[in-house]
Amino acid sequence: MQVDLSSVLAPNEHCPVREVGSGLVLMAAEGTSTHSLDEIGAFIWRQFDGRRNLAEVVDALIAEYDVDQKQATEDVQAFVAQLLEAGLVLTA
Amino acid sequence: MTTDTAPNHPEYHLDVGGAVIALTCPQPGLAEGLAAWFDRPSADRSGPPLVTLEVTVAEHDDQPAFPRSLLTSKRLLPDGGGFDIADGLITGWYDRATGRGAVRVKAALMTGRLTRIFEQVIYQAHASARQRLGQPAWLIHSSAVIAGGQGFLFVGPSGAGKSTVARLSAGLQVLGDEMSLVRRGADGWELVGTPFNGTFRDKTPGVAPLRAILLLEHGPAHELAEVSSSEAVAVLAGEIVPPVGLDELPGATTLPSMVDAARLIARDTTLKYLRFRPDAGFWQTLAAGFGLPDGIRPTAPPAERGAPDAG
Repeated sequence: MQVDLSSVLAPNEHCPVREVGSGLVLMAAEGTSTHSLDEIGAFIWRQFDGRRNLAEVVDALIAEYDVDQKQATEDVQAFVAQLLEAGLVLTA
Repeated sequence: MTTDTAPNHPEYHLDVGGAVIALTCPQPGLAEGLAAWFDRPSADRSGPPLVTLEVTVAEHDDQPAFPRSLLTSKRLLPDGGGFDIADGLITGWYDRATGRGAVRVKAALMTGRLTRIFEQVIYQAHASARQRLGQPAWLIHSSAVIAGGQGFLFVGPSGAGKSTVARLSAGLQVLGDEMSLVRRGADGWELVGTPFNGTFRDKTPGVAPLRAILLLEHGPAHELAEVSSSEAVAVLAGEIVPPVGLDELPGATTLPSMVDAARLIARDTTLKYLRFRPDAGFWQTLAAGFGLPDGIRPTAPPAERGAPDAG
């Protein structure tokens, strides 16, 4: 599943999120699965504010970390596909 | 619905990490069946039970469906009418003020390994008991072994090797391969065996300081590896039994409480990956990694024992 860069995402508010170390721990809404995000995953997660689209999230990632446009776009799209599949984020 | 249990019926007392649950058994043979299933005599009656449940096994003509989780198929009935699980597979009521209740269970659920599903009712009774006790403790899907006086908890998804670890730890004190309890003791976290059953039947009751939690993965060799704190908490939280009492459904605080519990336990405990192949040599890796005394090694695995019927 390729996620369009114009998509706007927001966290699923029914999924508990906790900061642990430099990352995050998330639990699916029914408690069916748990997920950990490393520092970069946590950074991307925090960009999902229901306003910015994915292209802007990619720009933020490039500004924060030493990664090129193509790699950042591919990584964000793959990451978002996993989050959507797990129901951890919703399209706003 | 009544609030009193007939006084002269046989009772089977189940001790789950210090929380005693009394199962009142009006039908002949049920108390003995439960003792055989849990492979433990009735617990010491020196203290009053926190929760008393009358258990009735009901004959039936239908072929009920058996859900994997009793929580997702549980309904609370209106007007304080108790609860229904899986369309009548289990019905019952519970009064948290008195700690008394009753469950009526279709007979098929008390047969062979299906009794493991019935055990989930006791998980809920345990959550109700903890609420009365006011002492936090969590049931965790895991296998557990005491070696050198220290408790080792092994977690991982189905197929990761929890039962294999138990089987390969014969000669050490194997607490179980299905469900362990972690509670706060005077000197830190304690690992406690529970009566709940997996496939390993030679479990032994016990308690020890929690030395480490090992996240199991199959691998070509025995190896301890680092795990990030967020990954460790995510794995552990996913193995904690939702602390939902008999008169409750999972609520808004249930899932966060599981993550918070995992974070609390992980904060004070060493968590590592244990990559292992199916032989007892992983104990040498653990002995070296955790400074266990020389000579910690299991003996030959025991012969398989079948599970009895409870009802």
